[in-house]
Amino acid sequence: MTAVAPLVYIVDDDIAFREAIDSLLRSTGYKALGFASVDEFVKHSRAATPSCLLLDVRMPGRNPLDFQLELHENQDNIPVIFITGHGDVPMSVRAMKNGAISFLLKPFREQDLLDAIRDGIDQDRSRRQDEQSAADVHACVSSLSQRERQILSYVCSGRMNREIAKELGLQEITVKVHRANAMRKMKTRSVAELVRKTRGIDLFPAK
Amino acid sequence: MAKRRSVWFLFCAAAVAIFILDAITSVDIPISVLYVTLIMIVMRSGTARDILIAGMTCCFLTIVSYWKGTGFNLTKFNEAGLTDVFISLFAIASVTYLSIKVVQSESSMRKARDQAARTMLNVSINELATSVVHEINQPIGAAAINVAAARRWLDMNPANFREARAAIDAAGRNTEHAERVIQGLRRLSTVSSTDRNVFDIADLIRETLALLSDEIEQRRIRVSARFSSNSVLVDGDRTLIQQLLINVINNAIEAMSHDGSENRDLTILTDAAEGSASIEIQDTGPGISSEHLEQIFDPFYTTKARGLGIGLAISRSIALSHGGSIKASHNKPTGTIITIRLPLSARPSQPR
Repeated sequence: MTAVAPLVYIVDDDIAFREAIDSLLRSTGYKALGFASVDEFVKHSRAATPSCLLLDVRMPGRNPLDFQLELHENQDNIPVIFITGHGDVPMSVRAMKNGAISFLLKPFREQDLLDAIRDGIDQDRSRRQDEQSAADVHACVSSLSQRERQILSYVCSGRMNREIAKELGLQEITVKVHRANAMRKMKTRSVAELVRKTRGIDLFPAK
Repeated sequence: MAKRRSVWFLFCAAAVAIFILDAITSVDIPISVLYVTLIMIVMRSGTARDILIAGMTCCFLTIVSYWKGTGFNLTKFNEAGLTDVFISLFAIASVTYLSIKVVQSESSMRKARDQAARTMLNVSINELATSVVHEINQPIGAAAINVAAARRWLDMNPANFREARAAIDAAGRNTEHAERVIQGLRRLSTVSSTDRNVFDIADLIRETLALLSDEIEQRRIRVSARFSSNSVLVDGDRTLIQQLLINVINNAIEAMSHDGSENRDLTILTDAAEGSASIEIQDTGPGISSEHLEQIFDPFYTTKARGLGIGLAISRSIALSHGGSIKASHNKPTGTIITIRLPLSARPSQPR
């Protein structure tokens, strides 16, 4: 368990149901926040903790399935678990196609819900970590000088110091110094790690 | 039954009167045409068989009185008298025929109306199933989760009794809710009852208001009931009509229970006109938009977050099965008026 309790947002118009889920989730070590409608949830500013969203399919007001699409369009990657009172196959297919973690039919076994929530939270946590490390790499890259970037791109393509020096018309010792600085700035010890970190990242972003 | 006996009594009395009148007046005056009024009297009893018997009796009496006019002599003809007899017989026969037709079409109309009321209840078994499944699933599902949560709170080390207790209490409330839903559904099946009696609608309204007095007090609603100065006697199933009143008054109370509702006036008026009793139930809630005024009596139409939307549908079924009606209109400045019409009892109203 991380220091901060994972957060589950419950959006269901039935207060009795929200309260029941709230108690269950708190007994399992999650934090839970209930909302009576999609609009109410949208108004709420969300915390930056691993979280997932429990959505009732049938609710007055904004359609939860459309809302799921909207989240996608807004690059909001909060994992969504749908719960429903009806066994509506087309609805569940649509929800799953749009990336829902699970589509639970009421009444469901508590374990099914808890499994779905665990999956959702795990997915959100790893996504947050990926985003965090990507942001870290970007920060590292932006601290590099132009020359360091040049040298790192040669390093990544497997060139030796000597070859790089020759290519750029520098002393081998100069390349070594730049390379050491760059590796320090990238918080990297090995070329393998550097390659992994810089994969998919443009070392020379357009100014 | 009492009504039928009184109709036949009236019939016999009038028949004797006309027969005597026919006998003592000159044969030239076609008194026997008056027999048609007897058919009209019998029409009130409402069965085709009764009308046929009455028609035949009238024809028989007409012939007898003509025959008596000729001194019971079959060979003697009285031309004017004979014409009278034929006119009378023709009039009696046609009125009898028409009356039977009217009664028959009325009874088939009543049947169609009952049928309509019943079909409306069976409207769409799918809709009902979906609605019921959702409405019962919701509290049962919540109860199951609460029980699961309670188990977890108790299994904790140390056990959290306070949270467990709260979850169990919530589960109890959930099952109570499910019970209420089921009770409501059970009422749907009682609409077809045919237990009829005559009662004063004002008494029933007073009784119903007493039943709902807790709700009314709790929500601080002012009630004013203005009953018609004559007692309004309704012919119908008292229990069902009370159910109808409870549904409509409850809706009115709920409509005025929002926090913002300043004026909470429930007004109930009764009146009797054109053979029907009218009951107006007026609230000062937010009202219903014009396009939804008709819809509110449709089954499964609801504006409440919770509820099946069957209360007013049941009410309409009850009104229709009694040969009555129910409609909604706007109250001024805000709110809704529900007007219920029910058939008056044939027994005349007495002044209070």
